[in-house]
Amino acid sequence: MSELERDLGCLARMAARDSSALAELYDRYADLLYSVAARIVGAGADAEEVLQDTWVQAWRSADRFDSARGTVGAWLVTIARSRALDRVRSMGARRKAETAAAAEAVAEPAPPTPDPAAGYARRMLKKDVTSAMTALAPQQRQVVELAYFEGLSQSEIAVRLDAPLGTVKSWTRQALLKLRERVPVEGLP
Amino acid sequence: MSRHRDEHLDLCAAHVLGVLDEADRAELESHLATGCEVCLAELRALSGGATVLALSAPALRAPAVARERVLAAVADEHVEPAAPRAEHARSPILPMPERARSSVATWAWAAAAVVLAVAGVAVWQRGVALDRRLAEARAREAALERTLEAERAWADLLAAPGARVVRLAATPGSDSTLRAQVVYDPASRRAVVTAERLRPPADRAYELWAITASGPMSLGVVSADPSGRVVARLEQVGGPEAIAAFAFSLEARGGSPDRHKPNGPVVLVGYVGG
Repeated sequence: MSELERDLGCLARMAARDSSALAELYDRYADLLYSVAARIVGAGADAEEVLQDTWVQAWRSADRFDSARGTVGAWLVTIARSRALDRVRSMGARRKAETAAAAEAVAEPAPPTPDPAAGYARRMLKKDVTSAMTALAPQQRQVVELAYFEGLSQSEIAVRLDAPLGTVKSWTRQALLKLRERVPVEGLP
Repeated sequence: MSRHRDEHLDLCAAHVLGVLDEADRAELESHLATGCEVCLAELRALSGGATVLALSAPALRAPAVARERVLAAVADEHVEPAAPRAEHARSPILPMPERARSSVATWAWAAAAVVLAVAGVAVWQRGVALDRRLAEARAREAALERTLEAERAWADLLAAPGARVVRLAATPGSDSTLRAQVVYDPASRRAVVTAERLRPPADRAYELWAITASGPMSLGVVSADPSGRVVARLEQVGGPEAIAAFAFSLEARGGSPDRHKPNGPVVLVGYVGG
């Protein structure tokens, strides 16, 4: 059974209210989702609550998952990012990257995953993404990071970077096209 | 309806990241509604780039205690409305969350995008989608069999010789049009709850309680469909102690902070065998 089939099987079982399926999916994706949440709200209690909200939402909406939209991993990440950004917005003040970085410094780094094949695929992909990000022009990297991890709108980014709005828009697109070119995957393993 | 301009491609990038400014969103939506194939292809291409951004976050391990908390939170979700959920419009492009609540126009666009974008998908992508659908169909078939089994068990509950029908009535001073009924089988500890006109005020929610000799026990916050109708199935209702009554209280949205005591007023109550 492929990973895709395994994930879809888990979602179908979740839709039928089988919580052991959620536990199985949790073991595959919790570290990734926690990492995304921690990058946005900072590691610790907030990220943990985002993680919990993400799984509760996934549990409630498992029957609405549509595989034509992307992989299960991409769907879970979308939920986690959205919940984390909501949380930052509801906290009123945006967490500065330094806060997140300081919290990450004390958080436990992810060990190799228990599933060697999936872990290997994800590690390789992560390596590709890291090198693709490094290859971006600094402004291009900055705009996608501000958009993705801080949820800033284009005009907010323009103010933050003191750059013309039109330029911010074109940096964003160029960055995504380069990422897509260097890491041509449909979803997340 | 606007003709394609190169600026639309830049807006597509902000769209897949969910960070379009309001005015730009309106512009892009009205443009996509024209079925611009260039932009639809661009959205597909860019969404892959946006998805992998998740992997640029430093890899951390989720705290070990989180797993137990997540599973407990999900176990608390046992009161489920049987009313069908509103189907989201389907789009072949994984949408990133928008900064503000999606407008009706966004969903209308998404619905239009399905028709238009699906037509433009390359053959190999169709193959991938078909494989996915086949895998999904197989998984669904297995799940359906399990569901059918579960349905039989629920049908048996209604016919169980020991099942009790508990009618809940409004308490003095509360809305006298509220109605609810619980069919409860002490042997299997299962119950089916139905209610009508359970429409809580904004930011409030109805919570269901089982009352035993040792006090109330929360069975969870009940969500109703827009008409206020609830059909919920509960398992593992109550402990070894016999349930004396069922009640609904009106609480703040997340329910009472104490699982053993309603915080808000009790609005409906019905006694088992009473």
